[in-house]
Amino acid sequence: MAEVTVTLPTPLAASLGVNKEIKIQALNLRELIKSLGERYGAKLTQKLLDQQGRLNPIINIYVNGRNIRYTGELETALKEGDKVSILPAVAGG
Amino acid sequence: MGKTSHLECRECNKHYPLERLYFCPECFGPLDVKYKYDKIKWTKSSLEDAARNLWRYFDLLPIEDKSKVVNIEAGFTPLIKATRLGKVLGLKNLYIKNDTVNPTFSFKDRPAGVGISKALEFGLKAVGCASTGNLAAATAAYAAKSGLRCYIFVPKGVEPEKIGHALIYYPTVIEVNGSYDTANRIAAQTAEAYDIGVVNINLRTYYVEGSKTLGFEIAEQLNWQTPDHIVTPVGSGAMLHAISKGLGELERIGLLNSSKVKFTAAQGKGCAPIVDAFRKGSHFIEPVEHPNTLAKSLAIGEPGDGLYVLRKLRESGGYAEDVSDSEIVDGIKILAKTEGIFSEPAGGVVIGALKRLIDEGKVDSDETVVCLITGSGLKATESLTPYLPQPLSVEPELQTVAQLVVR
Repeated sequence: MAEVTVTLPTPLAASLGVNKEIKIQALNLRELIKSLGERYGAKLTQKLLDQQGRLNPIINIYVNGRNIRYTGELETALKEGDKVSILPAVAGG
Repeated sequence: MGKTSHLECRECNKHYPLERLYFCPECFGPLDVKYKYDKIKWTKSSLEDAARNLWRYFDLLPIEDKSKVVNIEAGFTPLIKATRLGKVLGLKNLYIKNDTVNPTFSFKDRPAGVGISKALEFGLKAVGCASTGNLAAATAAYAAKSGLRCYIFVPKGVEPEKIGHALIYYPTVIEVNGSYDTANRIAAQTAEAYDIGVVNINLRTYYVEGSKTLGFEIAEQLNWQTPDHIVTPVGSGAMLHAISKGLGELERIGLLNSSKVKFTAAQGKGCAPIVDAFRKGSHFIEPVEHPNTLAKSLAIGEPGDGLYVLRKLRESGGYAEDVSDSEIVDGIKILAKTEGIFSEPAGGVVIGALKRLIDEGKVDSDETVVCLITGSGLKATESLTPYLPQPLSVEPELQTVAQLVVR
């Protein structure tokens, strides 16, 4: 198991009543989201995944700055000390 | 009480007060500003004497305190009947919305003006943006006018003219080693970590409202009619979505009989994730990690409003076209040669896409078509120079010049 730091966007952390930065153990993104759901409620998992269990298309997750859509999506492996950022898919203008 | 009503999630329809929210905490959906539409009393004549800039539409813009409006006289740009270009292309009713004449030479003066004004209303001391170039200058100009600190995030490879233009307003320009999407991600994380209003990220809900004034103006300049077809350049897709929202609002308050219009989204080959999804009939946008197109202002591989553009294209019976670099250059040249308008590559994308639509029989010759030309070619001269003829160099003698003059 690798311990990673997950950063949530402020409005999401506020709505969950949790810190923006969370330490959590997981081997890959799928496991990480499952663990987040176990810790903070299934509702969080429902926000992050669509009904088919894929990453919600209006969310971007980055591992050490790289969008997981380029690294194997939810199968992206995690290692000790990785920094995971969850952000709404807001780009351009 | 104010004119705005609430924020509404585009995905789950949940309502929120008009606060510094930039996405729905319930479902991550984008938030749209809703107004007290019944209280808007615009008539065709009531707007006649309004200011000839985007703030003429103040009642449907999300600023409550008029003293917070930052005005650099952007907007209310010309809608030109493009008779010469129309003749070349075989269209009888072709119009160019010329947004190159804005104060910082692109349409970004519209959303940046609303975003920075809202930052002042929220009491922020610092603003910024992630930009492919045009928004950089627009945000920096408004920040200069309002006295706010300004942080601009740009990717490597932006046209030097656009960087130079932004620098003259003295913001902090941070060139990020990576694509636009990387710069955008860092800007988003900065916005989260510090109290900075990054207009197209954590002020996005309000910022995008500025772009709908393009739709208001087109309708007003066509004497309160919509065109049949709008061909628009698409990067993130926020502008297209905002124009559609604006037209819908005009219908809702009774100024348009119908807001129906066909949209075509135009992107450059080499970064056309929305066009690709449209053609595949997909409801997902496959991101482009390494964009490669002359149209750098549209080189957004992870378009924030991509899904919503797809919906609008399909609902409106519109199209999506991607054009090559050589088609972009041809488009810029023919627009300049026939209408005297010098566009940046994004405008070449639009004209190239229109030519495709015509070639493929998707536009009738008597349709009213509006092409959005959203940024000036002066912002991209270096990248266009290789495609232009050289000047004729002569000695200052009439005899020599005479040989060059067509009689």
